Amino acid sequence: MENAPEVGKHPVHVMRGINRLWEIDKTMSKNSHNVVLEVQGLTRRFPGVLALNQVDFDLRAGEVHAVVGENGAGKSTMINILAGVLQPSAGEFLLDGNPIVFHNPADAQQAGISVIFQEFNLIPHLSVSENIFINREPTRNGMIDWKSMHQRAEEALKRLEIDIDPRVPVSSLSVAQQQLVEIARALAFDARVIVMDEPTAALSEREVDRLLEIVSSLAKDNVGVIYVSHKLEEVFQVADRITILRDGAHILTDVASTLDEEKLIYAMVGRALVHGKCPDRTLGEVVLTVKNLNVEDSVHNVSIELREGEVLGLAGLMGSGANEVVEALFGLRKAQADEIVLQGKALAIDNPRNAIQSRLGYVPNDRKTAGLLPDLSLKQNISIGILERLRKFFWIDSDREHEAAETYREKLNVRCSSLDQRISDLSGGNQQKVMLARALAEDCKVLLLAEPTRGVDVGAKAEIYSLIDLLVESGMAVLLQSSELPEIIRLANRVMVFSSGQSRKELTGEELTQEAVMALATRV
Amino acid sequence: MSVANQTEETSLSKNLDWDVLWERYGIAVVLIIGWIFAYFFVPKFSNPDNMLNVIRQSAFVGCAAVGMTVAIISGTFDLSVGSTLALSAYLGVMVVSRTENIPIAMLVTVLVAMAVGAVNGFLITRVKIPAFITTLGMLFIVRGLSFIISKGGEPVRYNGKAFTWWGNGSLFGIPTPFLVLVICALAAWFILTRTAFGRYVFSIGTNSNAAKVAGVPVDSTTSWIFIVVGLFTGVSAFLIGSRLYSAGPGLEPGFELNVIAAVVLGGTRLAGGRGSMLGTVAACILYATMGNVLNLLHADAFFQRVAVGLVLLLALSIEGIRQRMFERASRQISTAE
Amino acid sequence: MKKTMTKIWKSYSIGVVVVIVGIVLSLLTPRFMSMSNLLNVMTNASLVAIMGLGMTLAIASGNFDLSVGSTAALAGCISFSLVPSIGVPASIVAGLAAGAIVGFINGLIITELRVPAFIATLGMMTIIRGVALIYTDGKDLYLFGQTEYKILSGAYLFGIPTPIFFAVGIALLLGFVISQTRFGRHILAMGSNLSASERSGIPTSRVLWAIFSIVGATAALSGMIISSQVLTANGRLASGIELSAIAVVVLGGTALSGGQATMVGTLLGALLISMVNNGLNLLNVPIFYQELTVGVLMLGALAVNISQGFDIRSLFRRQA
Repeated sequence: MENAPEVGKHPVHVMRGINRLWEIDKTMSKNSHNVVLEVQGLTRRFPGVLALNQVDFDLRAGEVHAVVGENGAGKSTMINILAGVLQPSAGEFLLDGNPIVFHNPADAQQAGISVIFQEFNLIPHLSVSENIFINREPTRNGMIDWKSMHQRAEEALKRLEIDIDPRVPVSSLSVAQQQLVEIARALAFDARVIVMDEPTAALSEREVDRLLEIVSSLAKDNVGVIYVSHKLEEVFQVADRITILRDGAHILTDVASTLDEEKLIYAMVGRALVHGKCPDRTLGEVVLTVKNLNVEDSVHNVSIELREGEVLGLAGLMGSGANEVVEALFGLRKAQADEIVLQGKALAIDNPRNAIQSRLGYVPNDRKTAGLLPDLSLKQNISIGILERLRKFFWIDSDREHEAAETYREKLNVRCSSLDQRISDLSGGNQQKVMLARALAEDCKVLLLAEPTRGVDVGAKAEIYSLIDLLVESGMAVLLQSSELPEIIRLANRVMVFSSGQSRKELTGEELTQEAVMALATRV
Repeated sequence: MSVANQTEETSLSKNLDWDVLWERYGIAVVLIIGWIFAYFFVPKFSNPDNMLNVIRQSAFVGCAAVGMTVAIISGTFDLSVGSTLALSAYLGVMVVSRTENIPIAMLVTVLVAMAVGAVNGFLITRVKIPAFITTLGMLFIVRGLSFIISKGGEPVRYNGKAFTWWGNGSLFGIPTPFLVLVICALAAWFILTRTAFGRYVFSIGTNSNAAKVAGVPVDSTTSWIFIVVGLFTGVSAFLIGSRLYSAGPGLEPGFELNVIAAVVLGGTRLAGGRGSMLGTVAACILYATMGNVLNLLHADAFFQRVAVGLVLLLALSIEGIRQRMFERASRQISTAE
Repeated sequence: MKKTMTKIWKSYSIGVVVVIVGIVLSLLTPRFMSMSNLLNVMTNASLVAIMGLGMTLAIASGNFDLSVGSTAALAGCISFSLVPSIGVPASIVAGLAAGAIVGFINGLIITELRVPAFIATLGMMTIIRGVALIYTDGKDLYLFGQTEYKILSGAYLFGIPTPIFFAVGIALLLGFVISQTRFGRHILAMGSNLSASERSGIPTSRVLWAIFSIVGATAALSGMIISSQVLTANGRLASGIELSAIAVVVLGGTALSGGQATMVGTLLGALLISMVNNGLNLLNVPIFYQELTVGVLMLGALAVNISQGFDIRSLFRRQA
């Protein structure tokens, strides 16, 4: 049961059947296409989740091959395997037709595969040239040959038509420039395959155009580029072929020109909504009003109205601003707004502590870095926000603490051996329930959820969904930020779709479909 | 593969539990074994006066170590405690020599030390100078202050019986300083495990970002932590002044590093998030015991120093090696998939 | 423009302060500017500076070493004890070697036993001092007549005391290493972004061993110079100097977080402290105000730097 992926409208095996026929045709013409890298039957399991399921993929020299799919489709896993960071559970790699195995990142690099991750692998204090030639710095008589290194760096940069002085420290460059340095480094390594993971997430429009130009010129230089992104407009601009992954399975690979956005989106999300749509809800009073919220460069003039008993969804891809809205409301980001009113009272929230005091609850999108207190027990993780309430004289009433924790453990069905169990021993799904319990224990009026089922197994997911239903039924107001489409459709009665820091449109009722959300989210 | 409800880490969690046990009780166990060994095999150790003296000795570093334990659990440490010790002891002894009033002297000692802590807290949370540098700078400043106040380092002396009883006397046969230590340790442990403040200390140590998001008042808690360090350092100062009948700026050189060593040896690791007050007390007793045993065995006095450092390194190497084994094992799991 | 000004202030602020303090002191007491006094100041500065220079390397890589004082004492003792048998030059080399070995052991403890640098060097600090005391049996070692040893501290080259040459020479050497050799750049890389360095294939363990060996050697040299000044070596030498060495580096502008290093800064930091101490002496200010001033300088310098809110890493973090 746990090994089966979420199957959708087109069962995977049917798609594979169709693909097989099409592939036979492809194989006949493949060799004439100079395939550099090929992957067959790539599979990767994690406890409770099948991240990649028999994926086939091939890359030709000089082509830009985009890999597209939404969150959880398996893109990151595939990238990590290509980089040699993760090992596949099954599957074969072929480099120039010969089988090859990557035991570690060094192997992958030796094979000519360079991966540019979202978190750069650069050394901020060192110069651009040094970063490009890190650990391979040219030397003369034991000293670094600066002249030669800067020259070669400049050549590498020129090749990409990048105008950066290789002598400056990387830290002085903008994010976009740093990314270009990473690319230059890959080329200097004589990479034959360059994999880019969401390369334009932090770039401005002009920088994006520049990057796409460079990607095209890389292809012209006979480098194979794997371009992983969910920004469809860019994909269409630059890709020769497009592969779509969905729920860990390979859905479709085709020449870009024969695909259009509609087909792409359908392939990306076309699945039966296993969880269905959200139930009917009775809405109460308006409980939260936000007018013209601005968060640094990430969010522009967003206005929100939230009622009791409703779940308002904030949908959008990474960098769209949806998550930043939630963080700002909870006081984790500097923001300005014309007005933020909660239950009639104007709010000025600049840190989590007064957010909680104003009866806002929050479940962060990354529990590992911002949520869990790893050395503490389950019980202590739940009670951390309400310790003042549990006071008896000047110490904590441990009976009441236990009671409170037990109440929520039961309510959310957290599976553990005891309330005093260390939180890091629990599974992802149970940990997330504890995060939820913490927010609920604080008796919040408005619940801010960011990616609430990230890293959560199927069973726990369903339980969390039912719980959210129950919560809103009893009057809670929920602001749900999620990049998982089925989730947002299952839970939210209204969805604001974000892209580039703005709310594009509000969808509700009949028009609220995965395709519609995705179409809006991928608009630049 | 494994059960769906378990993370990759749980298959290795059994190893982790051993580590937790070692951290919490390891040194206490080593101490007990050490004492049994010393009792039977080291001549003159079993002399009651000797054993009591060992316990007495442990308290002088011990009280300050109690405070340092709190700091290290929260992920930080305080290098200025040695200088604070000297300054507050000097002022305390001076007050008692002038006023012959013990409670006032105690109060002054402790308050002076707490004031230093408050300054540390302010510099760290408001001016945002990293704790290492702040407390290092304060080490110099406070030491300078104690020289200035003592007009060049002239120690102040007082040997009133009521005063010196604290460091040299006993109650019901147990050395007074040790009783004070036990009370301090119990009080601190109570605060750490039963109060909101204590909970906040742990949460900042285990993940300060998550603590902030969870609404923990990180800045004010941190300030109070340094004041608490001052408090317990002041207690040590009073006891030492009483023990020595005097106090001067040159008091206990290297004190801060001894205190930190004792806390870390006792099981509270610099990374923060968890700790053992029992371990701190046991480590202090262990150090005192080692000194005593080596003396009785007529070992080179200097060998003691080597032993002190060696024990610390040994204790932490055990964990380091376990960590390497853990890393090797977890690498295998992800490739075996 | 503002960026350049900030950069200049950041790189040369300690120099500016040194100049200002120098001017102030010479106005307050004319004796300050006398040649012999200045040489005195610089000689004293050199002692801590040499230790600080090695420490700069460690701090640049994201570590530090609390055992330098003990290493200094041990090296002095070993060196002195060998003079009668193998002569002065060889015993100086022996002292340096001893320091390097201690440092190497520090490195091993950190990389192989995975003990954090703080604890590792803290433990070694007490161990090595114990070893030094055992080695000398707690007694002082003297040099009778073998005045060639004075070359370390009492000799003059062109009228300038040798310790100053050592300090400047080592600063130049290490500065060269940090800026012109692969090894040096890798040290900075490790301090700047350790995980990226590892992923790029830099042999971080080996680099660490080398760093700590160098730290040990410079500490050894410091210790031998100090011993040479008073013609006595014992196990109590240089007690507590480790924190002064760190203070000097921090004052000089090298950040504790690693990734950059300024040897010149360390020299200037040592010089500043020595100047201040000397000035206070000349002004008949009681000697104990010196420590106070050091502490105030340190904190003042950092408060100013931090108030400028310049964190190099924030420029690197991606805002997605």
